Amino acid sequence: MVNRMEIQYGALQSPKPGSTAAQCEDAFAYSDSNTMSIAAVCDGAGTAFESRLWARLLADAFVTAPPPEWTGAAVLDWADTVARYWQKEIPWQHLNPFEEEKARQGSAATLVGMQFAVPPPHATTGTWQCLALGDSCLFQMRQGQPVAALPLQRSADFNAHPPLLSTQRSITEQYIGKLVTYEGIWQTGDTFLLMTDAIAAWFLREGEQGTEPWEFLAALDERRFAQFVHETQTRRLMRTDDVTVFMIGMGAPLSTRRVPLPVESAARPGMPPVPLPPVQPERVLAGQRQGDPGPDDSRLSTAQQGLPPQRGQPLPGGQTADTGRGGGRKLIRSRAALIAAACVVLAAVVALVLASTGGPPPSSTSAKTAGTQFAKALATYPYQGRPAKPGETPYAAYLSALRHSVAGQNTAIVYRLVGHRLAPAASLRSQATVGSVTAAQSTQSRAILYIVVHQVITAPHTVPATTRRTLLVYLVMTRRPGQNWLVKTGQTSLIAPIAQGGGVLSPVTSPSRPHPPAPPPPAVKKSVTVTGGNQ
Amino acid sequence: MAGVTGTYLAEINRLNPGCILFLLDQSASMGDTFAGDSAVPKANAAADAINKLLMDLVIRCTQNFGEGPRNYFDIGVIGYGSLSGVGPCFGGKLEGRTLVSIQDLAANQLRVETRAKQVVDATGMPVTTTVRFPVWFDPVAYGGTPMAEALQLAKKWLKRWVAAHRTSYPPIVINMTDGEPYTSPVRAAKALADLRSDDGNVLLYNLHLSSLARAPITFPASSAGLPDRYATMLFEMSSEVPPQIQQELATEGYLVAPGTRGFAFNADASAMLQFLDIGTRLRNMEGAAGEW
Repeated sequence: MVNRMEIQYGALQSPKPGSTAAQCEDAFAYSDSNTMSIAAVCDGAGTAFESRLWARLLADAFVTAPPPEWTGAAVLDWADTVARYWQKEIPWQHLNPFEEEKARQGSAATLVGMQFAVPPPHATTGTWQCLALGDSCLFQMRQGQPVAALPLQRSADFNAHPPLLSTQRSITEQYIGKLVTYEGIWQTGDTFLLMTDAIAAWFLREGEQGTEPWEFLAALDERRFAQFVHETQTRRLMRTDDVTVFMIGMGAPLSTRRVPLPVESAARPGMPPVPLPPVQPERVLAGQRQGDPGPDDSRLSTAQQGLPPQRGQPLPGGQTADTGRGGGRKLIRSRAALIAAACVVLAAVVALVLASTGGPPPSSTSAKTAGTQFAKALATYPYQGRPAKPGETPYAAYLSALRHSVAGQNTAIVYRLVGHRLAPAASLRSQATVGSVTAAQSTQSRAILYIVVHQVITAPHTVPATTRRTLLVYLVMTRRPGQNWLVKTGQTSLIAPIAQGGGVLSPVTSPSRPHPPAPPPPAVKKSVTVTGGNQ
Repeated sequence: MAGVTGTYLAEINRLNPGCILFLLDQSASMGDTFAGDSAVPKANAAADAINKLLMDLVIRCTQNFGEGPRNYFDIGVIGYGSLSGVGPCFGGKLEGRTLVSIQDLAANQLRVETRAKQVVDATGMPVTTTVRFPVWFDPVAYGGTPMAEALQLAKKWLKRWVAAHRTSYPPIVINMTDGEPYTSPVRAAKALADLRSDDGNVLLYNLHLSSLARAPITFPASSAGLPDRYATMLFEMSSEVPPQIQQELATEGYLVAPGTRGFAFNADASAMLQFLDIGTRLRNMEGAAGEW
């Protein structure tokens, strides 16, 4: 067993008062392969349309298919590509006049991203690169002190008009000159913090006043973090906003403790097609780029399109990456890397072939079964709301009931499934048939599934109308040895528009009538464990 | 009354919504066209401007598909003229309602018109496209100018509103007129602007629409250069703009002096739109990037 420095990831997030976690407009994502670790935090502009979606798409795209070069021009093109997915996700045919006009104005978000090559065993230092546009910040901490702060260094630098990445190229063009790129050196024991603006400004101001905010932050667990944010915002020491801190510990233990799931590059629905799974043989490519292209697999050169600048490559802003040590040693390292990369590519190709031919290893049959059951359960859940509390819409009541009874904490799944206009919540019924089930990744312990679900929604006791829609349910499933498959996370999106003018999913325009007392809610399933494990 | 007191820093959110109330002159002279522009009567341009602004407010409060707009504002329009006296303007299902929420506005219009709009396409060429234009009320131009009565009615509505929203950003009242009132509105204006929430006094802005072919005077800091007693009276009736709006004005290229007031004299159609836009622009909305 090699004594490798452990890299830890953690995230703390607290939505602004009045918002649920699902309504939080901050997004973070990271991806760590055998070779590369990459993370991003985005802050959706609260006043823009579907900025939560835009922030999520940007963060996910950044860690799975980052800009090929970290320059203004490349980032502009990259944002354009991601914006096409935002455009695609907006149900233009079903927008009311206000939504339509707002959607035309587009969406906007900040972005701060960083990456580093996963260090070889025993390495105690290496380089990292950062890219930032807007007022989401990165701090590199060493022994409690910041050694790098990007793109802002002083609390006074925050203002009401940060640069933003927009879904509209013409708007991003106005800001792209403010893009900040940076390359630094990490040492074992360093911690990186990626923060959205409210807490970043607080963090800098505390530091300016001589306190050590990092020591304080590091001591907080999730619950106390939420409490701290609330108190600090109440005392007006922090602006009221969604708050996100994403941490990367380079061999430094993190007291945070919600370790998020990495984003899988091949598996995000609606994302740009990424030619290879997350494993990216970048060191080999870096070597080849300097010389001639080499007789590489054509897949490799395709993969190269999506790769950020690597060691030895000129970096944005005229900086040059650390080229490592002596030449001989470099050669040995690159040969070893070549072999490693070849294995990685082989594994990736195998995974791709398996996924596309539907012939995954035996375990995936059960993952598919389990996932299919879950998706079907999700789509046929009886839409029975509890009576709305005073001041609450029937829709909110319905959403809350659904959230508690079907998906446990997986609000992302539920939100996308029902995030559309609903008739009175009490009496909707759904029938679901499962279409194709595709495994994008499948191992003994982990599977990523796309499940097409055709849904027929009726409201038998209220209106004689029917709505048909098609959903794409994306599930990340995991399984411990000998146990059942568990839905780790997921997302549901609408892939076929609501037919026949909305049917029962038409807008609620009249004030809601009082509801009769609802029957007791269905048995609460605390976890989303599904059966079908060891077949 | 011009010296406003308060911080004008309250964040506008769903628990602490803002309030915007328009007072619209519907007297006969509003049927005339703007000086130098013979196409559209002032009454129509003003109704269009307010309808457009109502749409913009709903759009500003709209953030996600299917969620409906967020109730960041309560909105009202009081018309004053001789046809139907002084009272609320909304038509359709909102007829007779005083202050309504953004969600009410979004759900109920008199009608939705289809209008041509010039936009710039991806290649930078101007093209004509059609847009949906919701209409909440129609223009009226008849009879006299009972401005004092309109200000009194506004005070009656807003007194209730501030009592129910102590911690909210204070209401913004925009009075749009082109003529001389029968009776002096000064006392009624003072009584209205004396209303306050914990965050500050009601902001009363006056927008005088042009009948003379001369350059508009917008956001002045003194009455120097105003042509007559009537203009001076409207200036005196107007609130000073809070510091945040002064900053907005400065970024828009206005010359801002201490004591700048929410007042425009002899505004043409474009000055009117710009005045309305700036007068209702509030940076400290929930979700908007804040000031530090």
